[in-house]
Amino acid sequence: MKKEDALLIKKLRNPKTRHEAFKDLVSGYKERLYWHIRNLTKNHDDTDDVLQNTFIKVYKNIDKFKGDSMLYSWMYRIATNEALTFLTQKAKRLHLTSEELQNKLVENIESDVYFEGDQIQLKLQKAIATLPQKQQQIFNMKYFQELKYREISEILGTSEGALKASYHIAAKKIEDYLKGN
Amino acid sequence: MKKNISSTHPRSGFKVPKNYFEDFEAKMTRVISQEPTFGDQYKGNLGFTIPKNYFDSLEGQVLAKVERPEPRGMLISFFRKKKLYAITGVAAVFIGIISTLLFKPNPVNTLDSEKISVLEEYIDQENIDLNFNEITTFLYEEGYVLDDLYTSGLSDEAVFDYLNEQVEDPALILY
Repeated sequence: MKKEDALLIKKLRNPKTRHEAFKDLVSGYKERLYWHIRNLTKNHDDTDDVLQNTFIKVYKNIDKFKGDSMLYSWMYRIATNEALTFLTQKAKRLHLTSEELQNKLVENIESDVYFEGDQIQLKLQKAIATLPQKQQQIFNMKYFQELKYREISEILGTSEGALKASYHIAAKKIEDYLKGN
Repeated sequence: MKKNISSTHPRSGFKVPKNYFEDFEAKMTRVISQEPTFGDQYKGNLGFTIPKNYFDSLEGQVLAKVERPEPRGMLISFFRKKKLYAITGVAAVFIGIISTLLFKPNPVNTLDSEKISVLEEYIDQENIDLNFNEITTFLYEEGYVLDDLYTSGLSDEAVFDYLNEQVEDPALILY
């Protein structure tokens, strides 16, 4: 564990310094976690809900963090789980399958006020929506967030070799989709 | 990773509202302060109260109870008594069976050999005046003696044999 992380965790566990330490934590991780979540939920409002839930969970469970992984890995895992749980519940609420919800969310991107991408970027989102869930995550983290394979491996608990293979397959599928559409 | 200053993500095209990240920290601070953290909120305050000077007197009360001999309880175990009844019942049945098998009831008018010899000695020593007429009267008129004889456990044959042995003049027992 990094020295800075260890110090931050120590402050978070101390009731006297917890408040101040939490502000530092939010400041240091809000954007990274936001974009990670946004790539999954596709729209801003849902992302905002999930991001807040993620930080609340981190705040409440900081004592349970064992330190056997990097702090950001742990927080990314929480964010991923929160986002996927959110999407599952949303699909259930709308009486849709996960696949149907994905298509619906992608369709809504075009009309979303918080989307300034061009047609290629819109098509890219549609292509990503056709991938299996795990491949989507790997592609988003590698391509959009530019995380290293080592970092992705720590977050997802998958070997670097498997990640490379998965990313390669995902990229091939997207290429084929873009060529065909 | 490069910190994303722009409100629009360059690769995905996704955008965020103006000042979203700047305001996010303040928003989270508000959210966390409103969020009940159970342990911190009620730390040191369970809401229960105790009588005045309770802890001061507690030690003395406990010691007094420990030193006092425990009174014997009035409570008798039901299961122990039940067991006792069962054992007693079995023993009673067992004794009843054994006594039935081993001990035969005494006949009403049986005379053991000791009593007979005493009677014989008494008669021989002429302690009584045997008058046959009186005897027969006693036998027939009173009646109950005959009845007793008939109802006794002695067979006629056994009586005849006895008289035959004891009486010198056989003619006396012939009729």
